[in-house]
Parts: sequence; structure tokens; C-alpha cells
Amino acid sequence: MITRYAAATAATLIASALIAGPVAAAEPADILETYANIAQAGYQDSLTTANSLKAAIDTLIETPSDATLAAARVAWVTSRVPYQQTEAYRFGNVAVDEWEGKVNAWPLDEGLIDYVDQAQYGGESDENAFYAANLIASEKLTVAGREIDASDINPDLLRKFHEVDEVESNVATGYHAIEFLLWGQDLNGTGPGAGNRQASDFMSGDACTGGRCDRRAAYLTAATDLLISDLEEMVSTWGDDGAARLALGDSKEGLGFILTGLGSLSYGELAGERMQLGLMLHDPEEEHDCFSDNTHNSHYYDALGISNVYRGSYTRIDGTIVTGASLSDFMRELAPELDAEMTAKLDATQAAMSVLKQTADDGTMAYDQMIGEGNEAGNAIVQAAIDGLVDQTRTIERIVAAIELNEISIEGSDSLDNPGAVFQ
Amino acid sequence: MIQNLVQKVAAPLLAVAMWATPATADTFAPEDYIGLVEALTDKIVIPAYERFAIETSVFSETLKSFCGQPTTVAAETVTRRFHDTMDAWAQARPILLGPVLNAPGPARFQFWPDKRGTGQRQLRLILTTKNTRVLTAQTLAAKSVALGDLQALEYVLFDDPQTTLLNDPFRCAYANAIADLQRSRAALLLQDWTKPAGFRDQVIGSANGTEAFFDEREAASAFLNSVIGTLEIVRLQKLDRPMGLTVESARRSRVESRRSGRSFRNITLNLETAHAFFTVPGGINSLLEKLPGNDNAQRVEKLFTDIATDLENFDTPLSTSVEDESSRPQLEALLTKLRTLQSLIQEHVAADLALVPGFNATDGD
Repeated sequence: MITRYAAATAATLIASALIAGPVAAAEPADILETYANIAQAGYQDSLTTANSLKAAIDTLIETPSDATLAAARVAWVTSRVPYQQTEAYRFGNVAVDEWEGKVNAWPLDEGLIDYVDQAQYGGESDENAFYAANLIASEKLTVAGREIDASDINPDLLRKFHEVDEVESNVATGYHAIEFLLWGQDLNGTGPGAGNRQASDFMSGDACTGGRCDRRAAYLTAATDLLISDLEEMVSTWGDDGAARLALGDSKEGLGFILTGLGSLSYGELAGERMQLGLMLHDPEEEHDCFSDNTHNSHYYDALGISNVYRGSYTRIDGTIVTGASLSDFMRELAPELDAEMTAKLDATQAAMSVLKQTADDGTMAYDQMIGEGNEAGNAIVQAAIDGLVDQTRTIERIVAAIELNEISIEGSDSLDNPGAVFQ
Repeated sequence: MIQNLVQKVAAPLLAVAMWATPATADTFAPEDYIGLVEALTDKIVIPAYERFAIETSVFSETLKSFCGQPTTVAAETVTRRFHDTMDAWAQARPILLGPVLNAPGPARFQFWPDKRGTGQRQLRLILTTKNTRVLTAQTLAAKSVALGDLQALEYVLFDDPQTTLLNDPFRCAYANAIADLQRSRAALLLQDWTKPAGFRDQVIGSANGTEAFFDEREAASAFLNSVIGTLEIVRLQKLDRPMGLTVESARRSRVESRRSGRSFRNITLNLETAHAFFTVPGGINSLLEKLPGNDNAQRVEKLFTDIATDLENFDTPLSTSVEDESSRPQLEALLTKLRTLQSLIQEHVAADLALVPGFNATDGD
């Protein structure tokens, strides 16, 4: 396939050069360095905004009010901007994939954490014995026949209950646990409105609503502390001698990490699990940021993260730009038509995501309204973004084919051939 | 946690496969790939979709007649026709390319697994409120896919032995609407492949580039990816997920088609179709056999045969086996063989054929 692309006419090559400027030689080692630098900067920005979130949450807990609750919510939304852009690193990098579940696990059975609306949520689930366990209200819980003392809510306890009973939706930590504590359940279905938790849920004495406000505050603090420590770990993992950076190596095979991340996020995860599923079920429970109605931003910045990685450029929260040799540079040299196809498709996806984001930002309708049954206009907006992601995945596959490396990376094969590794 | 462990393996697997493309891109001529995709289209895909269209049509007619005059004897025919329909679907399910992937994908025929119980919640609500908007195929088509698919049909037919189509006219009318919707969707699926300039033409004409495929290798890769995707779905979703890490954490509620007791049968039929991709005249084996000294066709054959034998040897339904300590070694051996087979195809057969398997829908699992 390389030869087909290489056989582009001279006119096309000249046109590409005119549009793209001089073609720089991009070595895999340089591309991987840019890739790692962007990861490090993205996780560092996520950590910075998580620290701001912690400050806002401390203020909320010290002086609960509508204003301090609103400020904490703004800080949470802000913290999602850099983090979502790092999701392009989740697949392909073992260090990130193993860690990610602690930070951004979704969806959650929120009844594990706090009170819920029984009429809408229900009291039990065939899939999850902890569906309505309510850690905040319960000082003792039984897990696998063993009683656990939950009187002190701290990071260790939250870790213990995260994915308890091997149920993925038992999410006790991470962004979405914090989101639930800041917003509460969104009881509006596919109608307008997000979660509407009252600041009094964090007040003391008779002013406390929802019961056990002290434990709710302790939970929110512990979850935020964990988020910070988890992000610190990931910043370090991408540091100069960090495991994730070292795992990339410096040869062409390392480009496989990049492409695995871009394709898996584009297709199976974002287009599939997070978007098409909710759209075809017309169900707000399938919305990524379902409590805060911030899903439009989460999807937008996920897509932007994919584009950042391909283009080797990330704009940090302070406005500075981390950039360097990129996969786009590499492909522009190897197969300019394919690079043009990829960048055009990334742009098309981003345009579709911008419509989605704008529709929510200007108050026309939130993401959960867009996926509602009978909302043809909203459904079409979401479907257009999905189609863009699916379409760009096809080009990612073409890039994989065009590179045609002869050497086989064996990383992971041991696990494949060794079933014990899967069941340990 | 299970999924996390699986991911640890799945992501590198893709990376391995992606770089497994060898320097044999010129080993096969375009005609070889076109011959392959034509054989797979005409000998597997179209016959499978024809059968699915016929069975859904027969089932729809059977239900229509039954609901007009329900009898115990006729109810047995309904059950039989349901299984015929599911057999046809299980044979067609491994086809993971072309119109079946059009939004919202294969879920419009079978929404499973329902990991968060969303579909089941929606279904219970419909049956409780007896919402008449689900009683025609047309109105049902606009609602959640989980209300109009084969999984919903199974729930309505088998979930509650006390409330059946015989004694609940609403259930009967609802089942009839689902079957009617499936009939029209199955007919459209077949038509989308066979109509002029349809997907069959996109596949066969891929050597010159079509809207769907850049070239014939890309088309052939999509077929190979169907086999790989099927093996992954069977392994991860149909076996690993209900098994849990231990017998204590196994969950029969996660077993596919457990209400109608056809979980192993679905897997067997899925794998028979995947196997046929290799064995039909002009199929994958015919290309592998052109490679001197290459024994991957035999290795694949042995694994498919062993797995089929293993499946026949289970003497209890999967929903029982996953929670039975004595069946666990059998299940784990089956998982191992499926993993080995997937690895063989993804890493070696793909390389032998100079094909590049792509991403699939389970990547985010």
C-alpha cells in the first residue's frame, strides 16, 4: 500500500507541499518524545486543575453555600478540560490503562456512595449487590460475608470499595464520584436540567440535608485527595525516567502505542461505549458526565486529545504550546495523501464535536436531551460526531497498513499465551 | 476488575497485530484477495442473511397467527420458530462488516450484553405500563433498540412462566411487533448487500477502490477482522464476563440467552460461521495453502475442531456451568483455546496474508 500512496502524482505532491510547507524529517524517536512530552504536560495540567478543585472543595466544606458549591462545580468542569485530552493515552499504554479505572471509571451505580431517589433509581440490581449500599449512611457493610468497618471515611476505605465485588459500576473514586457528590442525581431524564444537590447537603447540625453531612464532606475530601495522588503518580510515570515514557522505546514499533490509543478511543470507547450506546437506548443513564451535564465538553476534549496526539501539539492550560515531531509529519513524508485524509477527518470530527458543544453551551439543549427519543435534531448532532469518529478510525487503520513494519513487537504476547496472567 | 485485567492484555494484543504485517504484501495478487472476498460474500454472508430474513419472516407470520388464536400447541410452534430465528442470527452475527455496522450497529438485532441493565429496566417499564407505542413495528422502531431486538423478544417469551403470550394479549401483541420489526430490518440488511451498487458490489469492486474500501486488501482485512472480532466477543463477553475471576463471583445473569437456554448453542453457531471463513471453497485456507511450508491452516483447523468438541462436551447449560466449581476447568480450557486461536489468526494468519486487522467494538471494553 505504501507504493500506492507513494505513487501520488507530482502535481499532488507539489500541492501538498504548498499547503503543508516544507516536509520535515520526523524520526520515530522524536515523535515518541513529543508524544511523551504531551502526556506529561497533560497530566501535569490535570494535576494543577485538580489542586484548584481541592481548594474549591475545601472552601465548600468549610463554608457551604450556593456560591461555594457553584465555585466547586466550576472547578470540576475546568479540571475535565486537560484530563479528557489525555484519554488518547489510555489505550496502548499499559501503565495508563491499569491506572485509569481509579480516576475516570464510568458509569457508576451512585447508590453505592450516597442517597438516591428510590422511585427513579430503585433499590436493587441483579448485577450489583452494592447497588444501593450508601457508604455515606452506613458505618458497617458486609463484603463477601465479611463485615467491614466503614466508620472512618478515608482514602483507604474508598479504595476498598472501588469496584467492590468485581462489579465495575461500583465506582467509589475518581472524577465521577466527585461529580456525583457535587451535583447529585440528574432526575430530569432527557428533559432540561442537571443534578441539583443542595449546598445544605454539606452543612452541619439541623441545617444538614440528606443525612450524615459530616460523612459526605469526608467522602468528598477523601475522593479528591485520591484524585490528586493518582494524578501525581501519572505525572511521574511520564517523567524523564518514568515507566510509561521508557516503555515507548525509540523505534518505529513505538508508533504502535500511539495508533492503538487513537483508534481504540475513537472507535470502541468514544464512538461506541460513550456515544452510540446512549443514543440507541435514548437513555440519560448512558451519558458520560450524567450528573453535571458536562458530557458535551468531555467528548469534545476527548476528540481534541486525539487530534493533539496525531499532530504533535498540545495547548496547555496556561496557553503555552507543547509541540514537536509528530505522526502527521511522519505520514506526510511517507504518504502525503493519507496524512491529508487523516487531518481532514480529524477536522471533520472536531467540527461535528464543536456543533455538539456549542448546542449545549448556548443552552439550546444539553447532551442528555440530544440523545432523547424523538429528538431528531439532537440525535443527528450526536450521530454526526459518532460518524466522524468512526470515519477517522478507518483512516487510522489505513495508516497502520501504510507503515507496514516488518518487525513484530512481542510486548503483550506472553500475556496472551499465558492464560494464568489473565486470571491472576 | 475483570475488564481491567482483560484490557491489560487486549491493548498490547492490538499493538502486536498492527505490526504483524510482513513483507509479503506482494505474495498475493489482487485477484487472490478478490477471489477470497467474493467467496466469503457469496458462500457465507449472503446465505446467512437470506436465512435470517426468511426465519424472521416466518416467525413474524407465526406470531401474527398465534396472537389471533392462541393455543398451547401453537405456543410450541412459536417457541420453535424463535429458536430457528435465533439460530439464523447466531450464524449471521460473526459478519462484522458492511451494513450491519450502520448506526446503531448489530444492537438493532440483538442488544447484548446489557452491562448496566438499562435495556432490562426499560423493558420492565414497558411491560408494567403496557405502553401501546411499542405495539407496531413502525412506532417501536423509533424507541430504544433494547425494546425492539431479539433480546427483548426472548425476555417477553421466556422471562415469566406465569405471564405468557397465551394469557397476556399485551405481551403477544408486543412480541408480534418486535418480530415484525426484526423481519423488516433483516430484509433491509439483505437488500443492502445484494441491491445494485450495494455492499456486495463494494466488496467485489474493491480492487479499483470503492466508497467502502481503499483496495482489495482492505476489504479482505475487514473479513478477517470479523473472525477476530467474533472470537473476542465469544471469549470476553460470552464466557469471561459471566465466569468472573472465581466461582464465587460468577454471575449467571450475565450469560447470553440464558432465559431460552441456548447460550452454548449461540457460541457454537457463531464459531461455525467463523470457522467457515477458512473452510469454504475459495476461503482463507485456499490462500494459506499457496504459501509453501505454511501449516497455519492446519493449526487453525485443529483449534476450531477442538473447541467445537469441547462445546459439545458440556452437559449443563452455560448459566449452570459458570457457577459450578467442577465445570470451571473445562471453561477455562475453552478460554485458553479461544485465546490461542485468536492470537494465531491475529498475529500469524494476518501476517501470512499481508492483511491488517482493524479496531473493533470491544476495544473500549
